[in-house]
Amino acid sequence: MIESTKIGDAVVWAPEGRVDASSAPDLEQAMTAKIGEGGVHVVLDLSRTRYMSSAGLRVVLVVARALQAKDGHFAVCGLNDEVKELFEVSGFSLIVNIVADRDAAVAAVQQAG
Amino acid sequence: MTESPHLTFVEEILLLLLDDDTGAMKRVAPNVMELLIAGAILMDLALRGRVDCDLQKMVVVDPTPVGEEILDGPLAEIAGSDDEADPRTWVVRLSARSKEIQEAALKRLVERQILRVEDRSFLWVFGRRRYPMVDHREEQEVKLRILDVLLSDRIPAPRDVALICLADASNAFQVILSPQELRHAAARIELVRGFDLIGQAMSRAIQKSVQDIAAATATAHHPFY
Repeated sequence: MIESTKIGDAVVWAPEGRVDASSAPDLEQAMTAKIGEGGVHVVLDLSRTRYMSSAGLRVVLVVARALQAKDGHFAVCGLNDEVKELFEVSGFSLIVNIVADRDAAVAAVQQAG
Repeated sequence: MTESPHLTFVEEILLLLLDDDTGAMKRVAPNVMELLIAGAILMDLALRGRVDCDLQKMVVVDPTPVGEEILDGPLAEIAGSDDEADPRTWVVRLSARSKEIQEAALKRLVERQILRVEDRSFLWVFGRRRYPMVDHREEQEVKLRILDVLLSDRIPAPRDVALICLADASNAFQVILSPQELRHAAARIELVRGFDLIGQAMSRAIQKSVQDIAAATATAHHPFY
């Protein structure tokens, strides 16, 4: 079960532990389903995520793509050093809005909308 | 009539590299082709949820066979390995299987009636096998997906990212795009090909291989230096 929190217009997702091939399909399904229902202000809070693999990065790509198609807004926050390195090496930091913490991320997607 | 779900990436890249009219394969250095095919296999296994990786290691997360001959052999090899090698190491290891994988993929495209096989004698000495295209729809679909990603600002789907990595590594863009389009799309190609960690690993393996061959060639030409 993946929990999401609604803060104003924003839907905040905060996966815990590992976002890898085991957990990524469920996270992707849950996030894209919510976007399909109209939740287009989305925050991915990774402050409780200690590890992300290539499969996790693909979730970020799929979500960013789905939101772009719906003129939505997306911010990612709380990256640890390893996950930050992954975002930088892969160039995801160039296409996704990365901010420090949840408050800043929620503010970013709400202001953008 | 073609009625498969997705083609494998190996099949897609072979379609891009075959000349539409003659069925001859575009020239790609043998070492590059081997690494390219290995990269394509790993990308397919990743998108089918069989392997996963980070910057340091590649692991099998589901050893269940995919049901595609060209993917299941490599999957079993990775699953049977007792070390956690990085993605680039696996690209290099699997490149040893590339010849058999390429033959199997071409055979599959013929079975699906996308290609037909034609044996020609060349100067009465060398047999040369060609694969003229019977059905251009699959190839056109692949080209359109690539153009759609490169000539727009849309965030690509993971499958299209993998395809961009493979097309870039094989220089297929030089066939698909005009020189002007290629210049226009250069920055976009650079950005998109970074999105896939296996694609990055494959590019590094190809770069290293090309450098090694260039160094060996230089040494052969100047043996006393």
